[in-house]
Amino acid sequence: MTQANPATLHIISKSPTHQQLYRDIANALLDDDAILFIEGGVYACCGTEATALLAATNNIYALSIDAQSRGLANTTPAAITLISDQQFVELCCQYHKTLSWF
Amino acid sequence: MPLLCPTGLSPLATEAMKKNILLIFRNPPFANSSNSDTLDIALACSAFELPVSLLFLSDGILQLLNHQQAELLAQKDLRKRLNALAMYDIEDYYVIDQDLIRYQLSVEDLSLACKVITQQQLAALIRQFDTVINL
Amino acid sequence: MNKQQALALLDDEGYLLDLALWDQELAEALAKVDQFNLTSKHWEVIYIIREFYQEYQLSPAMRPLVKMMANKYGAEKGRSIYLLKLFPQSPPKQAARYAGLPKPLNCL
Repeated sequence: MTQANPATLHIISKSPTHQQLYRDIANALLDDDAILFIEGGVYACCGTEATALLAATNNIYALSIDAQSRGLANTTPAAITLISDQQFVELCCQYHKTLSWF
Repeated sequence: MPLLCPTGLSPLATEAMKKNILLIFRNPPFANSSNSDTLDIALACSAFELPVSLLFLSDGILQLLNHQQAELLAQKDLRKRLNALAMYDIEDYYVIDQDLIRYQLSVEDLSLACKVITQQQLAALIRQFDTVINL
Repeated sequence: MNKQQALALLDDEGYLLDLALWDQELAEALAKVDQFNLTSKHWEVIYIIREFYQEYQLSPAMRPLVKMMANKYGAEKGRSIYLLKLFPQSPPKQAARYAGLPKPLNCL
């Protein structure tokens, strides 16, 4: 099976308190890559970190259930797409590889 | 029969074997088992003749510091096992210049002969690999 | 050392529980249990993997074992077929067992 899309889906599960992790991710990112926040990573949606990462790529997602459960669903910026578990799986399939930042 | 190279695998499995893998070490020594686990993955990949490269990112470079004395903490010294990598034909190692600068280190301080890349080259490095494991 | 005494020192998979207890006599006793005859050629391998473990804290898989044999005893002995003739079950596993080392991980 050939993958048309060579880009990477970066999956982030830690909050922006882990500043060095976010610096590493910023360096690891190419502009056609995507970011998916899951678990504690969704806290990035309500800080300045997501805004900074949005400058690097337009493709930013957050797992809806993790954002909702943490009370962030309404404050998530419009530029971040909330997705279901099903869409999570679809997203993984769209990218050449995933890279987990746990 | 337990041969060195697995034969009789399906074409799909053979195809999978060609995939190159980047393993990222991101933790300092003694933090948790992830560096040790990542090293185990590297050695397992070698048994399947998968091409493996290692990236020591952020605190991961601290794992490579010379003059560690793990025995003072009654811990195993992962560096002894890291030194075995060349015997498993794993010899492609990377560190980032900014991580060296941050800890005021040079490559001479590290126990493996690493290639130094810039922060800006990191994303391109990752793009080269089919699989990236970052425990 | 009799069969019972030797077996009592092993884990479920037949590897020595306490590395410090190893000596040549124990290796001979283990081989006897398996009805396996250790020749001087076997001993070369046993000593080389003990050396490997000393240096790297790791029981070698096939590839590094072959490499180390080649470095020490030359190309003729540094081949997997040579080792497979000596240890038909699996050179890294069988030799590790008689050498009193942990079972090699990541070994096919």
